[in-house]
Amino acid sequence: MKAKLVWTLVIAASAAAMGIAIYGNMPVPVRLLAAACFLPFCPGMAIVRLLKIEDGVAELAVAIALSIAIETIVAMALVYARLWSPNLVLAIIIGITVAGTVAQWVRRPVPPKQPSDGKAAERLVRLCKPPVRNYWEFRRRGN
Amino acid sequence: MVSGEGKANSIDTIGKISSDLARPVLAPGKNTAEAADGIRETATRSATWRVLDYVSPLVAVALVIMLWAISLPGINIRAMNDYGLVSVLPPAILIAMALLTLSFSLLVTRPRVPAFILVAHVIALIFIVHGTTAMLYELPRYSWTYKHIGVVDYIMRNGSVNPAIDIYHNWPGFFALGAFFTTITGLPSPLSYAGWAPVFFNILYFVPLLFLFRTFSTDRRVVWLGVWFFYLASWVGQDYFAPQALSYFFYIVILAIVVAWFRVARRPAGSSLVPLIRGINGTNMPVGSPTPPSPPYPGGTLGSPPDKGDLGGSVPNQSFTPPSPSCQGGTISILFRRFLDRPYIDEAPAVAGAPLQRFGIMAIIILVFFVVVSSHQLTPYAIIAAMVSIAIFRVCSARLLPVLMVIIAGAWALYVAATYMNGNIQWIIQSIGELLSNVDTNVADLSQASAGRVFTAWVSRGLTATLWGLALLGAIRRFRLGHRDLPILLLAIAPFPLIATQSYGGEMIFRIFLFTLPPMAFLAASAFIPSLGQAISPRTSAALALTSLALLGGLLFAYYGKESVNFFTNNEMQAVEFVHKTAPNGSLLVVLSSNLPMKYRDYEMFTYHSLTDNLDFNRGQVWIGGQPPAGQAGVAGRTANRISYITYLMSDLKYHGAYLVVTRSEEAYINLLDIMPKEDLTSLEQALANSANFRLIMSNSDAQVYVLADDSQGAANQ
Repeated sequence: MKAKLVWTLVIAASAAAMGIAIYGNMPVPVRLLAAACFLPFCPGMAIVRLLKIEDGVAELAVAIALSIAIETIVAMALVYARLWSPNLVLAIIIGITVAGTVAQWVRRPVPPKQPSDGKAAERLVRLCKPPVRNYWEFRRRGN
Repeated sequence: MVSGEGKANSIDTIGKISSDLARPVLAPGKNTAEAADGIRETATRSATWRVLDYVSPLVAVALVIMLWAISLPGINIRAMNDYGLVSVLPPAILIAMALLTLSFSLLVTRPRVPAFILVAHVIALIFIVHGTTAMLYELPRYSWTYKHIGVVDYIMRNGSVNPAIDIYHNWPGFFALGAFFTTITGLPSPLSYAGWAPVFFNILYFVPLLFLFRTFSTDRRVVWLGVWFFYLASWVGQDYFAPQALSYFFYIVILAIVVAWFRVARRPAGSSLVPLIRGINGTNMPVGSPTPPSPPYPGGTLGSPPDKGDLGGSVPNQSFTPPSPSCQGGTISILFRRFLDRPYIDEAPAVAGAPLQRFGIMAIIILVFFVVVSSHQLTPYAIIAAMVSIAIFRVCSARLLPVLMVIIAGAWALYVAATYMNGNIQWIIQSIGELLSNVDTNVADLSQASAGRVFTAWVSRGLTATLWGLALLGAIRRFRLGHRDLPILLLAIAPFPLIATQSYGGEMIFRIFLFTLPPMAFLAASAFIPSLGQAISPRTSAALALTSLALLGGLLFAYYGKESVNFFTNNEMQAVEFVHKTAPNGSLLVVLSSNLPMKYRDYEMFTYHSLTDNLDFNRGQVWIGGQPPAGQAGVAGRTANRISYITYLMSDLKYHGAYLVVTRSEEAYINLLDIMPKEDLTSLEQALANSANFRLIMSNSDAQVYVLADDSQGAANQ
């Protein structure tokens, strides 16, 4: 949950910074910095997080590849459609990023399967017991 | 690796790898007393020593970087000779590189080195090797860079592509991305950042390389050493501002994803090879019984070998069941099953993700492959070759993937790139199968080359042979220890058949080396660390350090060997810029060779002619009217022929102007590659300066621009 929140914040902040830097006509160094933070990672990471890849290196590699792939495809599509506008390309990419980030929050985790062999009730009873306060109580309960 | 349903089974591959990477690797065979000594020793070590363990390598890296940075300003690149950049590098930089290599070689075999220290070494190596030229040169390297920048410039100006202009407009993915990035960052042109492209791309390769090698092995030492060898052996210079550099990144990512997610842990019975083997044997007996399902190992994927842990060493394949005598086929099939019908990669079991997650991963592969198809002509076929090879041997569970890839690549070539293919399909088809011719085109003729060029050429070949030799040794060592690395071997071999398809402008052999480099680097590292848990003897450590130094030395000559022609100066750019500003649209721009910073803007408005592309011009046998002029012979005669030929070319009235551009880098290129005798080139330059046919309209220490003396258009535009 913590990692999810961190990544969501990073992606959202980068997307916002990118939008402000470009559409706000910031100086070139600011644009470069924002682009360096956003373009190589965020669009892909927003989607790859949906796949729940546990390994950080694998997740990062796939996210970088997907980010660059999305940017290339969107830019090329507008070139072939003769609708070339770098600002529009960026708007679409930010839109994809936001959609991916929202989807991470909307998507609910799959609940774990409950055992069907009758042990569930026993576990429930155990869970309902008040927590152990000290070692002696722990011994008294017969553990 | 992938969570969701079946998480307990699926997480193990790389999740386990990461935990293994954090674990110390101990030598097998150590008894408990020794282990206890080790623990006691660790416990008694003070925190200060442990901090020093971490800090000292980082301090060493920082010192190396400082040594490199303070040595850069004293370098005079104009003093470079035919041995390349090494001839002008000060000893301090060479010492810095050697220290970095030794430091890494010593650290990588140690069990408790944190990853960030190794990362610091790799990043430092990338900056020193690839950042040196970016820091030293006034302009980006390689004339090809400027051609690519020209396409980006075209898209920025027009917002579209014109497939009739050249091949780049038929595969515009990389250029569209470049146009997008350049525009939104507010930069005027990719010229501003293209010089740093090698640093950027090599850093970009780092994460997917780690990913790929970690699917090959859980031994962190061989993973990191493989990465190090990759960078030490990457000499072909395909990491500049080019579609190949970006496509290569996607190539590594696709290989890693397929090996991680779509690899079958063992070859299923009834492989496509079985009928073949049966045919070879000449027997109709059934070949082997279906391999029984392997036991579900605790904590592992079904059919995957158990995690051997720190003391695992080379664990024999417990799951291999020899075929029963009643079901045995011929000798070859038995051999095949015995040697290959085992888990292919011992340490890293295949991942079985939930179907939906595997679908998502597959969608990403296809998306990324589509970008490769739209950006580069060759890389899609290298990927397809790799996928076909692992599909044939049933290493990959996604066996229809290569079919889909062929459809995508074919559809692009025949539909989107139809304009280019219509005019070139004939020679492309003709060159398929011309193996000897293609190989011959790729091998440089060194008979007339200078000593420096011969030396660097042989160093390049030696570096390649060393890496491939080490890879062979590593493969043999791993095989003897029980590993069955079929996917790695297939990926290492798969690109070689590409040489039979075409020469790729004389570069196919270099591209093949490039595509084989990741698996070869891993196998080469395995020559020193063949198996998880194997201790490294002092002798092996010394051999590793020496080999790393040798590879570094080879890299410096092979990668920097042609730098005298790869760098350009502001003076040259000034001359080209002058022509761009002066020449009217539709002008003819004549150059001695194409090695100059040209075509980076407005390139579709001019016609370019490189004189030395014409073999007759190089021989001095060009004359007008089909008859050689009488009178002069030798150098003077050849020069007169060339002057009259250039005059004839530039007099063509269909052009709105004609300009001859002569630069330092063009001359360096002609001299280095022995395209024309040096005395001929000197004579030609003198004749141009003295000829009544030409008028010098711009000149500086590195470049001259001529027009015809009676060119009123050129005079009016000055």
